[in-house]
Amino acid sequence: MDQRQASFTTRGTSLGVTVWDLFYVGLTIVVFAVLLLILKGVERFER
Amino acid sequence: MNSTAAGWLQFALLFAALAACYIPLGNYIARIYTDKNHWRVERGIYKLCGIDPDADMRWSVYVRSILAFSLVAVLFVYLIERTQHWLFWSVGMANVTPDTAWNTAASFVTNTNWQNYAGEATMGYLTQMAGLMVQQFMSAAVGLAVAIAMIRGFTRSRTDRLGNFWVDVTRGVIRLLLPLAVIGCLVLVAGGAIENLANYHTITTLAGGHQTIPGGTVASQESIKDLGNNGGGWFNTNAAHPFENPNPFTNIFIIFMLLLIPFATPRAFGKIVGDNKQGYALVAVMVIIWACAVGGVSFFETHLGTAGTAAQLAHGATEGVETRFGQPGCSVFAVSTTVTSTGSVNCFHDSLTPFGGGIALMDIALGEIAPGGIGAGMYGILILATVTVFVAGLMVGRTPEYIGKKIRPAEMKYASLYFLTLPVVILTMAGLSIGTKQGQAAIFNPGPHGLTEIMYAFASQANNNGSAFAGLGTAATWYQITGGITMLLGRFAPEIFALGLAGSLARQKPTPASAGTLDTRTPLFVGMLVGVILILVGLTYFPALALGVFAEGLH
Repeated sequence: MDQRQASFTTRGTSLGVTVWDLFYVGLTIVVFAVLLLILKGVERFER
Repeated sequence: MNSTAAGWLQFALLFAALAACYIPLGNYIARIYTDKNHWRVERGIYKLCGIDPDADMRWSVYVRSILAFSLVAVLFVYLIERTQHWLFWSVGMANVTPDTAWNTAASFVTNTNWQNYAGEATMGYLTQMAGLMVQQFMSAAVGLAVAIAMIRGFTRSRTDRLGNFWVDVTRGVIRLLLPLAVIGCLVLVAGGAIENLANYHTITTLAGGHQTIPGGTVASQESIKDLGNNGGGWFNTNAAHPFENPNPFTNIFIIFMLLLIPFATPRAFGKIVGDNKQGYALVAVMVIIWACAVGGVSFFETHLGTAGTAAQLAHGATEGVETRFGQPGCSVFAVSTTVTSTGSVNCFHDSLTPFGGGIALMDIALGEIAPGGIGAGMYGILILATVTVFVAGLMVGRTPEYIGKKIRPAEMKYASLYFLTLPVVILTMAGLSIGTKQGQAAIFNPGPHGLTEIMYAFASQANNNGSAFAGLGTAATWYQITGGITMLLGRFAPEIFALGLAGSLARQKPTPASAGTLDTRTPLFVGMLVGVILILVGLTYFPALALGVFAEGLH
């Protein structure tokens, strides 16, 4: 359920990759890397 | 008709409709995933994507495929959101801010559909359709694929192969979700939900004011949002908006859709393992918990929430309730959306009475296994069933078995890791939010209710429900980041352990039932499974519930 009401009169932002974009792409990769590590840990446990 | 009778009538209608679909839909789901032949359109997709549909995957390869597919999906949805203003069908929307875009991408890929934004004021039509709606299909198909792979763990022997992830996902979308979603969309359009690509219109009202009327492909998204247990609404008010949910008929149809596949999946399980009574036992557990939750919320909302003249005249707590549906429509919806992983809402959960809201929170904390999210409910309850037979085995001193497979310490380790993951994630994130300035800054309701709001937020995200208690500023960067991490870990870490358990089971040779084998098709086992579920969750979350729900309700 939504919790933030934005404005209808919005405008586009300037083109370009921000530091926050790099942060979130990096964070996504880190989280999936952690999941991969969990998987590898389970595989080691399996052996 | 008084509200209590109306509520039970709705429940009875839903029960009858779901019971009528249980066998045919369950059999159909089983046939989808056991069919040896590929449809022509499926073969075309495999050829286009370079997939060998006949390759059988080891469980760890199955998991890697899920992770790779989901990683690409998160980045793709993020990209669409961040560039939507320059793409077509943006209807004038700005590019979504990075924190909201990331949280939303994680949310829709994990089948959570937690929303920190107002859809009609933030997302363009292309983002809604190509970004969010596509994930509503794909994430649901992934959940169902994991459940099917888990079931194969019981049916296969002396192998570690659990099927082909890409085939399972493709079949789930092509053969199950798309046809049902088309039917659901047509019924909703017939019921008055909107479906268009028109620009927003600004009109002058009779009072002289101005109002913006949004459009959108609302009915089609509403359909898969409920069938896939997603829950992400086109509009800020979700299923309380008249364009999404116009009348009491569409309201009960929506509830039916969100319960349809999860309640039919135990039949598919019974069919695939060759013993339909096993499916009946599991669906009985699901129905018992769902019915008790509906009864509990209805009771608290109509009996304990009647202080004040307005509430007494309306026969219930009416704050935050959509008047078109009334208290019964709210109670049945609130329970059905939280026992599944849907998270769609037609009334304000923050306005439920303390114990009514507490039941909604408990529904989510149960791990959503009654009947649970699409696929996720099935593999969740199968793991709890293995725990139950293990406990029963300890009582009588025998090696426990379930569906012909021994539940040994190795299997129990997978099961323990599975059901410990979510409490660790939920309680850690909630603790960090309460203990840090960043987390505290967004708490608008101090005291027990504020604690419940935080617990609800992280329980909802970790269990991939997506409904919110509100009253918590989750649009703050702290909650966007912790929420996104919670959703990703809460979705995929348990799937790793579930598939690891399935792989372990598949390697075993079948054990024939003997005189000492616990019969898992009996009312005794159903009662034991309900007990194990309630005790596990009760012990895990009781301190937080005592400080939140109970403290507020007994005040």
